[in-house]
Amino acid sequence: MSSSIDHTGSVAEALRGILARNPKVHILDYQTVFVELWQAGLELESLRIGGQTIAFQDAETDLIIVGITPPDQENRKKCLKDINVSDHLTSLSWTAAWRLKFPSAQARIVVMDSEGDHCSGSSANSLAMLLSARNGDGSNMVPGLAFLDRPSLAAVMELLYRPKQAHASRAITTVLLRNTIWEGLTANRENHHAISNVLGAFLLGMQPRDVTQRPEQDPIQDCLFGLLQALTGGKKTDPHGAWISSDQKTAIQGAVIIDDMADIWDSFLRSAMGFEGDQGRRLVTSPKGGFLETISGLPQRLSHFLSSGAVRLDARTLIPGDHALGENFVLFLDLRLFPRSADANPFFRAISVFGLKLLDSGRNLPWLDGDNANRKSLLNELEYWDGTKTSTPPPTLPAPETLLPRLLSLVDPTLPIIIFSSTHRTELIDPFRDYSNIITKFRKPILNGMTRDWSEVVKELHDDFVSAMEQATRIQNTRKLFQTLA
Amino acid sequence: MKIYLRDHNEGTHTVWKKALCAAGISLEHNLAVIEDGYYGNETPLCVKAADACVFLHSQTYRQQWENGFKEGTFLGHLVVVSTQGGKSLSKSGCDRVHLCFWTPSHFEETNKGNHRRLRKWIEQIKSDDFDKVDWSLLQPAPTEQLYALRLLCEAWDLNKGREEDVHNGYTLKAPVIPNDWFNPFGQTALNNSATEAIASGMVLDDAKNEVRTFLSKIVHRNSVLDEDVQSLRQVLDQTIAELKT
Repeated sequence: MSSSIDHTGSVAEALRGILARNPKVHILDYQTVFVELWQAGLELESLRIGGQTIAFQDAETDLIIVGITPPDQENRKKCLKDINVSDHLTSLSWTAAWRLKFPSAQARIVVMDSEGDHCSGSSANSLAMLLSARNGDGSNMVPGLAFLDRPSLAAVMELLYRPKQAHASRAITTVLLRNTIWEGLTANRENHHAISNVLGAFLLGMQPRDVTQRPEQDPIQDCLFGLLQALTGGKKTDPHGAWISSDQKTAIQGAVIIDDMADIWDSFLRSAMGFEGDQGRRLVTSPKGGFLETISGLPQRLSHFLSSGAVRLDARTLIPGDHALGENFVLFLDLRLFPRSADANPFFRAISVFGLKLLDSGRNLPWLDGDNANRKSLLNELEYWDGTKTSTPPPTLPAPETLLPRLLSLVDPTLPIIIFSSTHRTELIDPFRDYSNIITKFRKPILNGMTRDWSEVVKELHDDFVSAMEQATRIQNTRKLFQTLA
Repeated sequence: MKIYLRDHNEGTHTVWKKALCAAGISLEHNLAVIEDGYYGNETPLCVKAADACVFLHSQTYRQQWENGFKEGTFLGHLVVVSTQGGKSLSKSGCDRVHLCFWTPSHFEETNKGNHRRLRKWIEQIKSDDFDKVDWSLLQPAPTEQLYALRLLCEAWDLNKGREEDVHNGYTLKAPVIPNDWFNPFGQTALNNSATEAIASGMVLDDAKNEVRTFLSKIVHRNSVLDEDVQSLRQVLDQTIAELKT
């Protein structure tokens, strides 16, 4: 009876045996050293791996990385499971990131496809093409880097025989490498779970971070940090630490995030608000994998809240669960809660039913009272979504994504609500103009081009975040005043 | 076999519908491209039959679909496709969920006689013999171990039988003792099952037989002969070439 064995790594092992007498030629199997390469290989100018030290500054060093694709990561965070990051964390991506990080490093790196022509994914293919490209004189277009599309000793030796090129990376190759990786990361924005839609979270996650108090991390997330740092020159430095003052932290007390990507963003928000180490007590999100269920039940919970006659929303009405957050918190609310309209429409119908009850409740609705036109306009809008007046849709219907924030603002006018969206579209921001407790100052960054230095982007985001939190603190102080009066 | 396509791209982005049609795969429903996921309590029609195969093009809802198959709620098979190819997709962990390496272009090119493995799989799902479908054909043949042996053959050739030789300043060590041929696979020549374990990974029968013969000979003789290496290399080259078509 035949026994089966795992042959992964056999090409690297064979090559290692053949070249064993050359101390400055290093062979690494990519799947075996994946995490070490991404975590340590982009931090230092030499790398200690498997008992050998690879000196990247030594012009006689040759590193052959065998294999393209990263290993399977079974225990990935839920939010990352939905995102195909593998294409962006190939050995080709690592090699390109290394070149960008250390443009003057003298070592030569050869990436070899261990199976021959199995490279897949547009980003990997583009990088493979770039690393294979030669200049007119036969030298590699990207100095010091090469790609072999199949294991071949003859091809390896042909590369090793070639004289080393001067490695002061030419500006053009730096731009090509950076753009190729960036294009791959940001090309697809249509898919809600495209990696481009979470890049901002990853990049910001590098900023106000206290590494000693990091919550549970996914190695893949660390690898992406490494890639993005190499791309952007991002540093975990300025501005660092919490982005809000201790007075603001005391006033705000906690935060609720309603966002299907909360898993990704909570790391940034936790550290920006100085909540690291609070083990989730001060920052509440929907349970992992339970966002749709949480949001689908919200209209019903709001209706119960309305019937109860309570004045201020508590965190459990927004996100049920055993958490200690009471009435004092800031709400971070994304606008795009559903990846597709088929899921969103039933929600809009249900939230409109709640909205109609709210209009009819006799509660003080400060952003509408005294303005019959606004009230009538909202009534028409709610009746349209509710389906009771389908024949006469309002002529200028606000975007339905803005309905939930406005209704929450009306039902609890002293709850600070920060619109936590990447949209810059006027039609999604204008409807909030009359709603004084809705804050639109801070937006998730849109990253679809490398037009600005990352530190400038962070500085601007930091300033907007601080400004938004100042507004939130003022609203929160008013809320506390009302609580005292009650 | 009933074939369905669930695609998150609606309207004009019917890349997969076009590709499957070009490969001669008839879809079961008229609306070839429909919404990507199901939502709610209703079980989709396409997973109610054991002889159904659902092509799923949806990163967003992939986990939801896979769970249905893993839990046994859904019948039939799920083929997860990606426009960029599926080599880099993680393993499914379920024998009825299959990740597809092949891209729409690969499917379209099958009608020109390319991509032997994919063509074979398409023939199988078009036939009614559902139990004989080889789902591993949805991925390229595993060739790493073929290449590993081929590298050893190359080293043997470059050194012309010498254990060590210097080439332009680089010292090459050729596989001159049996263990040199076994060790890259985590095996030793002394292990009785090692030959079979290595041979079993050679994909095609000719290569399996040749590797089995070669390894048995060098263990028996406790040395390596050039004629055996040349014979092995020839079969490995033929096998690799065959797998590429």
